[in-house]
Amino acid sequence: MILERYVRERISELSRLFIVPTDDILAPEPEQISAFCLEFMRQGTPGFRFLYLFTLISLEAACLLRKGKRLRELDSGEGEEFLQSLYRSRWAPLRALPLLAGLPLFFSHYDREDVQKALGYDVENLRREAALREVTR
Amino acid sequence: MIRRPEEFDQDLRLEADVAVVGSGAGGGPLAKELSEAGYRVVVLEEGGHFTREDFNFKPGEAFLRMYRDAGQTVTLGLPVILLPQGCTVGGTTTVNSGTCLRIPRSVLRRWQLEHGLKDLTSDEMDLLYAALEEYLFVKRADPEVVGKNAIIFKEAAERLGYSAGFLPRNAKDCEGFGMCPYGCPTNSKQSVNVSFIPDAVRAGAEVITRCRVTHIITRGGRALGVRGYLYDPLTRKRTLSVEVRSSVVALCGGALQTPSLLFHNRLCLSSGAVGRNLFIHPCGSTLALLDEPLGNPKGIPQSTYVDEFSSEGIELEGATLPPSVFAITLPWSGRKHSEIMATYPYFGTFGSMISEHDSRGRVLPGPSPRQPLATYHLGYQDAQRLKLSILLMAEIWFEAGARKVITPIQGFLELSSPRDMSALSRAKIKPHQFIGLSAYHPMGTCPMGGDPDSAVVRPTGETWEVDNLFICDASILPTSLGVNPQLTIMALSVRTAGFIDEKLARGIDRAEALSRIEKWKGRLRREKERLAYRLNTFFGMEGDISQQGETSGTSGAGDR
Ligand SMILES: Cc1cc2nc3c(=O)[nH]c(=O)nc-3n(C[C@H](O)[C@H](O)[C@H](O)COP(=O)(O)OP(=O)(O)OC[C@H]3O[C@@H](n4cnc5c(N)ncnc54)[C@H](O)[C@@H]3O)c2cc1C
Repeated sequence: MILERYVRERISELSRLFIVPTDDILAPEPEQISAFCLEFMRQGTPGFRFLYLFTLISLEAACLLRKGKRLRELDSGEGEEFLQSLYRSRWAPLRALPLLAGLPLFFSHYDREDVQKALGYDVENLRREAALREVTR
Repeated sequence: MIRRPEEFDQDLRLEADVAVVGSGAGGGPLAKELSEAGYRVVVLEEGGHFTREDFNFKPGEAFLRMYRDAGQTVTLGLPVILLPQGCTVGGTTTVNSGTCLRIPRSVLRRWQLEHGLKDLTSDEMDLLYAALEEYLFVKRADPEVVGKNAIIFKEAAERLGYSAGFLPRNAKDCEGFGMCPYGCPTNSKQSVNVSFIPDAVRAGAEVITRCRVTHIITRGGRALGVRGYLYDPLTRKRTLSVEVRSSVVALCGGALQTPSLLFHNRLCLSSGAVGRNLFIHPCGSTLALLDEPLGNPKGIPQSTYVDEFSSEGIELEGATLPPSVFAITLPWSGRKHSEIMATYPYFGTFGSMISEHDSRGRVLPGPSPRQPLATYHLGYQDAQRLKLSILLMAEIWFEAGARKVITPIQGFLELSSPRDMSALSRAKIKPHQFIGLSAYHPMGTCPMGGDPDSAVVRPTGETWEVDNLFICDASILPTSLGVNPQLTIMALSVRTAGFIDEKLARGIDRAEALSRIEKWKGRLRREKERLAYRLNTFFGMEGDISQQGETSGTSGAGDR
């Protein structure tokens, strides 16, 4: 339970930093994203669960070291700068932190049909169309 | 019948001629062939059974439900490579792209010369391929439905003088709904879950889903069956135990799980070849910003190839990505990520794969038998070939009018013009500079070959060390194949079914012979008893005949 709460809290902080809404990109729904992330961790390997938790903790620690603040205290400009500095790092494990943390976040956000529709990727019609076609052997 | 764990309320004890572990490209064809030949076949599949009604255009759900460990399988090493595997009825074929290619001649020749597979002739393979292609409706992707991404890329490649074309696929009446790797929503893709498995079931095979095999039962160097358990898909906890006693056991769990099962059971380990030689065909990708929208998701995700450099083991194969998968390939976050995502409809995507030269991979026993460790180090030469494939794709994209090309190479993430390419072409790329690589074709971890010191299975598919234990999946391919492997795995599976059939038929003759010997021994015993009785009466030693009879009977039993 404690772990679940920890993951939920970190994920909502990170969703805000990772996914910046624009005209075409809808705002993230932290609840939906953390539900997906928890399910993703539950269905995955113990190794991944451990690595993902480690990543969340390391991101927080790196933020404290580099910015002297916790992730939730960063405004979007600072957050952007902090994450980009990690992506640009010459040290592969540091680069891996935002890549890994972002994986389930982006995956769940862009799997939302309203988000996809805003991008011009409309599966609703296709789903209806596909339901009417069944190929038999 | 395809059976789910909810249907059972007590432990399962089954008898069969053949127990098949896994229902993918290896297991499906084997189950069909043998059940149609009249054998009792039980297929044990760890994943669940999903049909087109479940395939809902949601990649996220597909990963959670139909991919092993939610698609999180990776190889450890430099760089870390994502290696997703299917775990569902139909195995990885249910979530693959449907490309069906034959083995390159040069690779088959090498198998014949270097791996003792002389009997695996090109004539025989051609026959098997032809039959499979007919059964699976394999034909070239239809240019009318491949989609804009494919057409633009192919035309640009041809303008540059590169050899390009449409890929052969196992799809019938495909209308390009663009969802092959997340479950075909119309049953057009002839993956094993809609072809071999239904036919096997029609011929009497029983498929037990959500059943993980953990033990191979052996005695005296001979396989006698398998043991495993059913589990609850929600909690993943074991519910009931399963035991199948069978004359033949066929392991078809794929190139990571099959060696893990052998490690766990300490079988076939003396050659040291189990788990060695993991090949994966590392893949690179490029995303290109174009001036016109590409109309995703309509189109075939993987329909086009450029094989200009295939002699060097480089293949380009087109792959379009839905937004969620596209989003995770971008090495940015925040505003920059959103800006790129906002132009998603204008992005073309294409992929490459290389056949390994100096990379080294291995499967090792993991923390649990379900989770073997796969290590893989991308070799320096292979890194340069992967770079070459990315340069080639970038060149084609710029020819197609791309404004920029995103690559997975640290230091060269964005190429804005053909001029940027020259810096990349001069650079010697180190393996760890690649970000977010993936691979889809693990193979080679239980190689087939003519020498028991270096191979795990014989040319017939039976293991060198355990009688009646066969392996029939991607793990038996002795080298990196160089092309998408499913058709070759299926061809070898059909071939192995023939050897199993032969063996079982011989086995039945042997059983008859054994029962004749038993009858003959019985007659001998009765003669002995009669003689003993006569001797006793002759010498007046009228003892307890029944007891004598029992004694000789017992000794007779002991002789057996
Ligand atoms: C996204 C993607 C796209 C691909 N596209 C193509 C393509 O276009 N063309 C192509 O040729 N190849 C493609 N491939 C690869 C191809 O699908 C595989 O090479 C092929 O399916 C491997 O066959 P297999 O029988 O070895 O294993 P699988 O098909 O993976 O089947 C193994 C099955 O065994 C089950 N299993 C494992 N262990 C156990 C156990 N202990 N007990 C019970 N069950 C067990 C698994 O759950 C699984 O269902 C793709 C792969 C991926 C991931």
